[in-house]
Amino acid sequence: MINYDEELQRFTPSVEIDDAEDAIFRSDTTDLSDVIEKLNNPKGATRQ
Amino acid sequence: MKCPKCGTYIVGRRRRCESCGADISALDRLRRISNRLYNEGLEMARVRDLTGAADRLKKSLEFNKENIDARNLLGLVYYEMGESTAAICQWVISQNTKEEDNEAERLINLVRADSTEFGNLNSATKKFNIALDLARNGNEDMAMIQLKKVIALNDHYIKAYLLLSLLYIKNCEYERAKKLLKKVLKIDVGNITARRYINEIRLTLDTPGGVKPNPDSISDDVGPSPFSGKEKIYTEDKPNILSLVTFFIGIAIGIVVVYVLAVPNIRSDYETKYAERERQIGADVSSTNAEISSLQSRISILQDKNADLQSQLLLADRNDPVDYIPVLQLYSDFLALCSETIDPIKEGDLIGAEDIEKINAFYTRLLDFDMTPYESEYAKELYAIMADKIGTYAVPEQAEKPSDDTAKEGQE
Repeated sequence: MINYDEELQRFTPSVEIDDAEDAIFRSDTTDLSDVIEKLNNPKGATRQ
Repeated sequence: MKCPKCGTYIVGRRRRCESCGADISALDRLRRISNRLYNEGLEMARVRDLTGAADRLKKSLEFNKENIDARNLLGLVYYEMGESTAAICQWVISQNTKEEDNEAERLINLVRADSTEFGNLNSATKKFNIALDLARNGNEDMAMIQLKKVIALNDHYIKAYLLLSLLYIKNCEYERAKKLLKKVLKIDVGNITARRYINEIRLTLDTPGGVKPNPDSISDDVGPSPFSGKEKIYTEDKPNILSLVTFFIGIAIGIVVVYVLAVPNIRSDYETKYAERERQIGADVSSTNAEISSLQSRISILQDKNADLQSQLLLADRNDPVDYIPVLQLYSDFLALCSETIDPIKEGDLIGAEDIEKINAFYTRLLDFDMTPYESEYAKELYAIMADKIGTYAVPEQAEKPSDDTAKEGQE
């Protein structure tokens, strides 16, 4: 069963080339290794 | 893999760092999981399951963000799905993570090499965002027009295909939607959204006795979905044979009525017109006959007149000047005599003896001239003129008596 409005909300705007720089800076590149590191070093030491 | 504490590169599977002795078993495990996910993503990308590949590769990067191969492949998958900017973002991040010996740089240069194509891709992205805003604001027609332009610029833009097919489904243009969704599945065989839409269309079309959902019923209110499957699908009625037969019977009755009622009237009308025309023709004929007879009588009259004139002409031909040339010659001599003797004489003057002699001689000749053969009035008139004028001046006693020879000369 398709609900038109719900389906429409699932569509997100695409990133334009002018906004690529912001998109790259805003992108979250945290992975599980960073999470484990944070757990091991609560003081906030990051991976080199 | 680098040691998180001292940064030493660790080759192979190790539990501890050789330099600082830090426990790296967890990191090693995460790396292996990331690689496994990357392999799965790669397999999916090879069979064109782009959605599945993107999902695996994103998970691979969640386990190890430094997996350059996974990031580069994710960028490639995004590019194939029409998301060119997202692809470039992944390649830029990949390049920043590892600057040397990285495929990402080559891929970025390939995309930017064709500036026209690159411009089209960017334009397609902008138009898609505009179309999405229009659709959300209820301007579905304008959104559809924009999306068609997007597809023309970037024929791999899966999101544009999906949004346009959704709008077609809303307008119950199922065939068009199906066509677009098939194109999506060609590009991305594992696209769940496309498969879901196609299944929905099949369910909607296969529902027996269904009618087309009323588009006006679709609204933003919370309530039953317009695509709940309970709506009837419109189907055309089968042709009713009885109505067809009734139609033909009606036509036959109409033909009979026309034949019975209208045709006799039309026929009598034609007969009346024919009789009138016949009478008119008869009148014309009789008048023509009368005219012919009058013309014939006139012809006979003219013929008689012509005969009369012909006879007169024959008679006139006898008075041809050729027949009374001697008279004309005599008259010519008369004129010469007159111009010589009579005409120069002025009033009151006497005629000379010589002139009298000439006049008398001519008078004698005139008397000797035999006019019997010349019946022409004109010849007689000339003779009378000569006789009259010469007789005025001639002396009869001095005129010579006519002899047999002179009478013959006159005849000649």
